[in-house]
Amino acid sequence: MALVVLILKAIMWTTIGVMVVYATRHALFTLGRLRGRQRLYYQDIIDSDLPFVTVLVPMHNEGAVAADILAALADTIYPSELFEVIPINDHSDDNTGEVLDEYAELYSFIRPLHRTEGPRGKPPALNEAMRLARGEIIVVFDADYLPARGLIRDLAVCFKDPEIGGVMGRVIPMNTPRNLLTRLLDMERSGGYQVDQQARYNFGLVPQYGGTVGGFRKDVVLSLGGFHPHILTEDTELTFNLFVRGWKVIYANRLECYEESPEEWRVRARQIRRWAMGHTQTMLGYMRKVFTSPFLNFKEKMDGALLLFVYMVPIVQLIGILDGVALFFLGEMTLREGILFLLFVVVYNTFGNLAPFYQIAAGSLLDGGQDRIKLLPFFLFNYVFNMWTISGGVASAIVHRFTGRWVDWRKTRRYRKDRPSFQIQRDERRKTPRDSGGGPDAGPELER
Amino acid sequence: MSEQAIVILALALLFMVLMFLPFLPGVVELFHPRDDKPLVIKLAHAKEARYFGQSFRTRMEVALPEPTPGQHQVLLSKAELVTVTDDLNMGPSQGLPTITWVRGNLTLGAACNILQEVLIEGHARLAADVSIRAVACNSDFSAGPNLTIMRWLDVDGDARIGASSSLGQSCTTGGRLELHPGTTFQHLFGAPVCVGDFGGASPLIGLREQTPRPPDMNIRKITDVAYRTRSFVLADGEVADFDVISTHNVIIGENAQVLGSIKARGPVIIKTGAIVTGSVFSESNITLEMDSRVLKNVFSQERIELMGGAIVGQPLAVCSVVARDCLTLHAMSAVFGYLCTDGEGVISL
Repeated sequence: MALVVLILKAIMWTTIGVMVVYATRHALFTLGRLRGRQRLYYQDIIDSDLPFVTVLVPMHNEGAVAADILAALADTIYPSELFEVIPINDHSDDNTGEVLDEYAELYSFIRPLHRTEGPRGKPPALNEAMRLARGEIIVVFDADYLPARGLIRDLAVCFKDPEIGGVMGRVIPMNTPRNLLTRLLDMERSGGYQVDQQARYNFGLVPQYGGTVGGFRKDVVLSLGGFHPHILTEDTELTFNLFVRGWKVIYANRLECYEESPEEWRVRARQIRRWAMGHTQTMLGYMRKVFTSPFLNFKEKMDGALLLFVYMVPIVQLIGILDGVALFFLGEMTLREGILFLLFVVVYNTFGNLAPFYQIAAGSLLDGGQDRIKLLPFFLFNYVFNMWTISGGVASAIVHRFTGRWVDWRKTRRYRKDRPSFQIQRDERRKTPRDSGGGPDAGPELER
Repeated sequence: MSEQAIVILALALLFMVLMFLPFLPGVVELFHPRDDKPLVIKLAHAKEARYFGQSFRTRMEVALPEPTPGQHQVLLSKAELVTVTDDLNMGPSQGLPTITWVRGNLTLGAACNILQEVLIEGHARLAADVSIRAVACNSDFSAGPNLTIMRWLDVDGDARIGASSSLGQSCTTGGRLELHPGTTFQHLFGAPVCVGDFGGASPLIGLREQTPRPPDMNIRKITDVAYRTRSFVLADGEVADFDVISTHNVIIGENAQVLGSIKARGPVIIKTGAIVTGSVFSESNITLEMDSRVLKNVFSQERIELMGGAIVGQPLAVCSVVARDCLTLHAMSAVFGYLCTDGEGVISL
């Protein structure tokens, strides 16, 4: 019995330690974002010598949204002789293929790829399209995204830096008003991008390529063998594959792009579960490489390891809770340990999802949100939801790892019915502090 | 019901109320939303160095398609009075009460103070100590010392700005932009932007043959890159035919050549007469010493200094020099393209 108690206490102390480390990390990120020095992104560089860019848009049954993103890409300012779009019709059985062919007739730089054979899913689709791509830089959008006219140029220009292997822009949900879930996801995105990603960029840590609104060097990814067809988060895997080989991923907070967030909890659960599984697959494959890479400094190694471990945190929390209950009923909770346990509960409850409450609040603040912050307490429910869903995903990934089974890729449901009308809205409340250079591109010229 | 049960019930009720309280503002916001709109992205946004001038011209042309001499009430961002004139000559210390469209040439005497935007189709000649809000000039522009631009200046032709001027938020030209000591700026664009009597970039001395790569570097396999976890020093007159990435500082010796780009976490010094055919990026300061050349972009998260005769870019191409904190140009230095700083831009005395 004494040995059992000892093990339970060791687990409790480990859990507390993990929580303290993550809470400190996110607190530093938040403080750094609010008070620290902000690094510039490269969008202020104007260069007449631009690289050839291929935009890849994987689509499986995306007939509802395909036309919107193709129209947005057709409106880009990037020189047409240095630009092509390869929308990938990946085994669709709706009208996606017809929409792509219509746009291909209108614009010579749109060259659809119709996939009817081979495995379905984003990684194999990207691999096949990359082999057809003429661009040295690949930019990827999911089908529900709406890029601004200058976004391709702003993404491509960072590859002038010889150290940059990948770039990630910022995702902004467009269907925020729909319900509680979409509003919470909007705030979570603010915390995740406005604070977490920018802080990691500021501190020279490991910003993450997110698989959409981002780009990478084609020859680099091809030389790595392309994307692993069975990794569910090919973006996370690419991030670490680049970092451990000496390339950097850069985050561009001002390169914003609309996306559609899940509007149903079950769809969200499936999405998080997929992320958790893919992230765990990556963790199992890259944790050792992060520590042994000669191209990463101590800070990058630590942040990389914590980033890889982040989806394990809910499982650690879950084990910690059960552990605490067991210790309580075994009568092993002294006053001192009880206080520590209370502290632990308070600390772990500061986590909303993968970003703590204060990080989400800071993100909303930086985005000029005022009343949306009132929804913050609802993240308590989101936290429970995420803890349960992520734990399931991580457990599945570990089981699959040891049984050698692979999981099929499943697309996230789309909700769009009409063309978004908010595009013409103007909201002057939003005042983001300068996180990167602007240049003479803001504000009407006669504003007084 | 016993008294004890009532107390327990009341406590439970109080507990429930206290539990619910933090959610109350959120519930109100959820059912009566005041802040539920998606964050606004300017989908039409595209980087344009000469944005202010181009936008102003377009607005004026749309608002006033037939600019006949006289006063016109037009709708710009709000209702504005616009005065259209042919040539305009103003004596010292005068002002303009309205936005002005000059269809010919503009001449301003010393110490004029113009608090409105001016569109000039012809040439503009400004005496010393002039202060002006914003100018779009479709031909050449020259100004004496101590010019103050409150917001922006955009010139289609060449521009010559006198010493000790303050160039506001943006000063851009379609041709040559000649600046003189003591001038401060934030954004500049020109082909080229130069300090003093810059005579043009001399042809590049023939770039030399490749030499073996130093043996002590980690070579990153994907492209021809030398990655170093220490400082990188290229000796005088040597040639490096690869991109250089260093976690510390980089020094390119006198008359040495880098046939690629440079990225460093520490300071970068390009010594006298050295040439870099690619771009230079640093998390720290970048110094281009006398007569050195970088053919592409220069970008620093701190300070950039272009010493006398240093040149960035090439004729007929556009490149950028971007410094977060401070950008200093010395006599006879030049940039073919765009200069930008969030901090202080200054032409050294």
